[in-house]
Amino acid sequence: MAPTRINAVAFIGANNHPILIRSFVDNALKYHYIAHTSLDVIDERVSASPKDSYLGLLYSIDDVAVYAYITPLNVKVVLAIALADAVIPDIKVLMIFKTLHLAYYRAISNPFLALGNPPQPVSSPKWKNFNRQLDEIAHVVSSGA
Amino acid sequence: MAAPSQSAVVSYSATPGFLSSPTWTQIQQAFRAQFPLRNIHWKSTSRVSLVTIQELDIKLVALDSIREESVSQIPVNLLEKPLLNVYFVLCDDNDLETYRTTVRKHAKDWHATISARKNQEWLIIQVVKQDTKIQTGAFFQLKGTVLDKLRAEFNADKRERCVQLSWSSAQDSPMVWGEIVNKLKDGLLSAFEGALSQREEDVRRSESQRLMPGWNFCTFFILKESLASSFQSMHLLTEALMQYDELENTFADVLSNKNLSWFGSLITPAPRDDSAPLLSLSRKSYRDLILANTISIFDLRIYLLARQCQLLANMNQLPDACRRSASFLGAFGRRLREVQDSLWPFFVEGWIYSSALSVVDQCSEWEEGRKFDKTQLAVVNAGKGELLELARTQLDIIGVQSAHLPAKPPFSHALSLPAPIIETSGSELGNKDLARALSDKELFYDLYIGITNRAIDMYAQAGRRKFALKLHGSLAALDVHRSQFDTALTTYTSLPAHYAPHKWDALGGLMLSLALDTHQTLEKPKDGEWLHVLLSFLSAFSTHGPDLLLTKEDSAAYLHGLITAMRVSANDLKQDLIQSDHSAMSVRVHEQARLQADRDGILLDVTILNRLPCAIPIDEVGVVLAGAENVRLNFVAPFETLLPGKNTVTLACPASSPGTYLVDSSEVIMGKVVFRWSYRKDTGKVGRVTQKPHLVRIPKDHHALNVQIRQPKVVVLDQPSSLQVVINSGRNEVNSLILSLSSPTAVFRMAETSAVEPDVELTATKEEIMLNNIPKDKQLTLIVNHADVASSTMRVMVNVRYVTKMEPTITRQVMINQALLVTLPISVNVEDFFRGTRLFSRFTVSTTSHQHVRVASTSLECGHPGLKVVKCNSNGRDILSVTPAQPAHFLFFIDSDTPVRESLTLHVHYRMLRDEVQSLIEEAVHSVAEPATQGIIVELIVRALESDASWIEQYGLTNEILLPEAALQGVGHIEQLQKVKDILAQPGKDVRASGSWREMQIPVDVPSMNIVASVHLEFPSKDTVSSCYAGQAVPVKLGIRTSFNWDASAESDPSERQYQMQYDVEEMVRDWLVSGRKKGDFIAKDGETYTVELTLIPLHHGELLLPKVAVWALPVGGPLTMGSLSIPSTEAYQKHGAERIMVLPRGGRTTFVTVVG
Repeated sequence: MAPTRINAVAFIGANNHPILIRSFVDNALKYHYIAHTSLDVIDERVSASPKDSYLGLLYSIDDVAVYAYITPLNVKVVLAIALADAVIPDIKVLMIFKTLHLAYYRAISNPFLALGNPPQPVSSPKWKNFNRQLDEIAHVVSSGA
Repeated sequence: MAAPSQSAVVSYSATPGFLSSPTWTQIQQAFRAQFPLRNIHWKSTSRVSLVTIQELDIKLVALDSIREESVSQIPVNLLEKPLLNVYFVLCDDNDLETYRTTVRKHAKDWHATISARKNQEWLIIQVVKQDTKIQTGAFFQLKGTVLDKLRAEFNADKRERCVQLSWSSAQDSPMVWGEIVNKLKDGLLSAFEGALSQREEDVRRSESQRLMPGWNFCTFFILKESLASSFQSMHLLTEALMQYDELENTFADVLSNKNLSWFGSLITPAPRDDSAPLLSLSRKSYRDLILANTISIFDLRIYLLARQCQLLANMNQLPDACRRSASFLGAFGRRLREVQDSLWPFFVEGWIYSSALSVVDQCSEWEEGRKFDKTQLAVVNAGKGELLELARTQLDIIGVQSAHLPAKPPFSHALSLPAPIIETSGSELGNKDLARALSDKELFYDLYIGITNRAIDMYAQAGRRKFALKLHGSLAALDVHRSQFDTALTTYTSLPAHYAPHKWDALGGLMLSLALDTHQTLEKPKDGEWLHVLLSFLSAFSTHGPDLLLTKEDSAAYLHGLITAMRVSANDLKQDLIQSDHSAMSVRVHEQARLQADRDGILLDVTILNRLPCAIPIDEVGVVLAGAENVRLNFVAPFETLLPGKNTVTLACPASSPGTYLVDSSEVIMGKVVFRWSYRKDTGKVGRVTQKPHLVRIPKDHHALNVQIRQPKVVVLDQPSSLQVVINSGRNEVNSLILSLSSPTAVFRMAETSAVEPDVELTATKEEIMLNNIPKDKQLTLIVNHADVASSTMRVMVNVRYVTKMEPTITRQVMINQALLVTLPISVNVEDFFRGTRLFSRFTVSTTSHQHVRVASTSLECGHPGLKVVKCNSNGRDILSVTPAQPAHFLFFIDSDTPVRESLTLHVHYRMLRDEVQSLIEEAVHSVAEPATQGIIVELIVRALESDASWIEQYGLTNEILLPEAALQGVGHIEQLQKVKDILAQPGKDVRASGSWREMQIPVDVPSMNIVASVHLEFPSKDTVSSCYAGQAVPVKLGIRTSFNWDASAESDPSERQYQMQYDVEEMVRDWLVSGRKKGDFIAKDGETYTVELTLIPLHHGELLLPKVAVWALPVGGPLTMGSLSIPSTEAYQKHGAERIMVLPRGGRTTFVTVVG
């Protein structure tokens, strides 16, 4: 099966504030839009089944399939995967989400990070490490491992 | 393949005679009435859970009408063949004869036919006519019933397949069918399961051979599909869908293994392939194509999807159908693009476009006749919205590639790579709308807007606001492209507000920047509205910086242009535009303010952080500090350019009000635009974030103009209250000074103000006092009267504005908020004693607070010449200390021959111990230290003394002040401190002379008494007094002398007055026996003595006090009392009050006679 390619990852705070929107391809604006619009669908999913963390495929648009995951503290992770003509097993997507979730928790475990409301803006250097980790995750996933 | 039939086939058979009878018609009718069957519970052996088939229709056909098993190898729906065969036997239970002759053979033949068929069940129903039963009921039976016979002959295994039906044409009760229906269900399920397991086995076998050469997916597909359609016929939709899903997975597997040998191509485009309705099963004869092994992947996938969606629609899961379709279109569209070259231009886009729209239409069709609740409907609408958006995306692609739309965002989002422009007339396109739009720009735009609006509408119905926002944005982009800037501007300016609440600054910022661009293009005036947009944009830019999704190449230059334009339009604004808490800048106020060295004033450093990457031209920076009780200090400084990053500005305030202040707000002013940051905590939710209040400390300037409020030196109790305002000009030569006082509790009579010092240029109005020409280092004291205050302290707000000679243009301001203790530190009580013409007054001075008060002297003064006031001379220390525990007493006597009507005044000279010590310290420090350091040293010593109270006792005794060593450690000024310490520790200082004393003047009324009586008991001789025996009678003379000397109220001459009085000698039954008129009335006259003879007999020996005599006046009436009775005031004192009489025991012999016996 062709390797899954991650186009973008978005972390959105519990109050629907964007924490980080990282796109691994050009056209960052598009992924901002995707992250933003996903919130609507996430709301629908969460109200339908409030207990699930993994919200599954939200929708597919243009050439990406958008998946979402919600952490117990209501941080939303939105994943835009390049659309391929094959079903990506949920278990695999879930695994990616778990990895992303872990990376996020590692990042916010930084005691120097001000976890205010709203959270520190994306450009903050405190997120540098987190960004690097995300790049790595995307790279690993895309290489088909 | 057409849609699978929704019913199971059941065949029936009977003897020809029965079939042609009217009874059969009736029975058949009643039998059919039992269908469809409901609630069939299928517990399959191969499945875990119990599945319930809600409803299953039964197609009842005659056995003869069924064709023999088809010879075709194509696996068909399991339900196309009968699952159950029913044989009806019309025969009474005892009518064995009929059975044997007519039925039996026919039934045997039927049974033989049926048993030969695979996976078919059978059932024999014996119809017993109820009305005939009665006649045969009593018949003696030997050979069993027909039913028994039937069972014996056909029903070989355990399963009961013969049922009896008590038929009565009259009463058609559903009850009689109960058992038969159950048998029917059992039979159907059993047959179905048998057939199913066989078919599933076939499928498994076929699937396992997948990797073998010669295996054909199409064959497998048909086989598997037959399974799915069987499930569907049995109303097991979930099972059916599962089959299709498995098929899809297998297909994907096969595809990934590149085992495509049995497929001709991915797609063989047919003319209307790109526009036919996607989910229509009749779009092509898919099944034939599959059977012929000529189907393309394209068609197969569509067929699969159509089947799945059909099932989902039947299962009422429209949203799922929408989602699957959308995913499929996206995913398969991508695959098609790989072979784009073999297709005509825009085939893929056209196909997705038409298909998406057709799915929407199909959904709407399915929706009809079904009921959805609100949430379901929303989800369906959301699904439709997504599909419409997918169609719209295709328009984006087509638009960009046909040059109808520019190749830039948001139109280019759908294009993963920059696409070349394709010249085509679009004639091959199946969708004629699209084809026409391709050649006609306006038509294209209409189509674009139409589809977008449909999508927005759907999203709105689904409650997906954010999707709708995105589409609105794209419509605005189209407006820009079509040069309809006004509409675009309206949209762009309204959109950011929707992104703002959750800080989606990147998107909001983009909208704002687009709005600014559009504004620029329109060349509209850069007014307040434009400024608002720009300010919002700058705010977004400052938080996101380079992350903001600007399409601009050089954002710094772009920003610089904006700011320059902003500067121009900020000056042109008509009114101030206040921008609160803008994030492009932030102001940090330093905590410690500084004093200006050579003049009155405070400097405050402020750091302004400019978060924008370019310089901002501004005019002014200001900070407001808030102190207690609305004291506000305004700091301002002009400033020109805020460079990117930190800028430090020093602000000045021409005032000197020391203390701790809260930063209230800060401002950066650019023309009419005011950036304001408020630091108050009570501003809504923001205040909940734990933010420490930002404090600024302003040090005290000892050389600045200083105003203090004190209690006046002299307090006269029956005069209006006043206070002292002490103004110290400090280093300033003051041109003019305006002072005003205010207090929440008191009213000041400013117009009555007077100055203590002479030659003061003072003008007092009702509100203010103006002073002119005050030289340097001059102290002025003003007395200001005010109305009485109820509380013990009075808050006074002093506001002084002054102009110095040095800087006549600057008006400086000092605001001081001071609490003034209004109550006096001491209280005075008086006690009076009358003795004839003299009056003794004892004044008790006590402190009202915990503070020690020093009293220097007291005097009682009177203007009346005939009055003689003598102070009781206490020979003790000259200064008395009054402590809370120990009040001081002062005794005076007043001698007067005539009644006194004037009041006297008690003068008390006092001061607080604290003030006294402070003045001593100040004197000592003045003699030692430089003027510059005096203030500090005094403060240090006072603080040291405050910290330790042990010096007070010593000071009270010797006037030596011993400074506590510990408190003065390491504070500097060692030399001066040592000198001061030596001076203070010297004994025998003239404390009285140093510092100033306060004076309190208390008016004292001389008390009036109508009658002053003195009582005395007179013994006949001195001897009697000295020697008197117990039991000895002593004659005494009781004299009561009355005087009207202190009767100040009476107008007439005292000698003319007289009062009726009574006396009463006290009973002292243990000590004295009183004989005579011990109680009586008498007339009292001024200066006369009334005498009564009494005899006293002491009852025992010892030193005895004489009995007291009470004297009182009887009520009198008269002109003075206006007819009513009043009791004249009387004071009586016992002259002999302190005398004791020595009574001796009786001497000599005493004889006691006792009676004996």
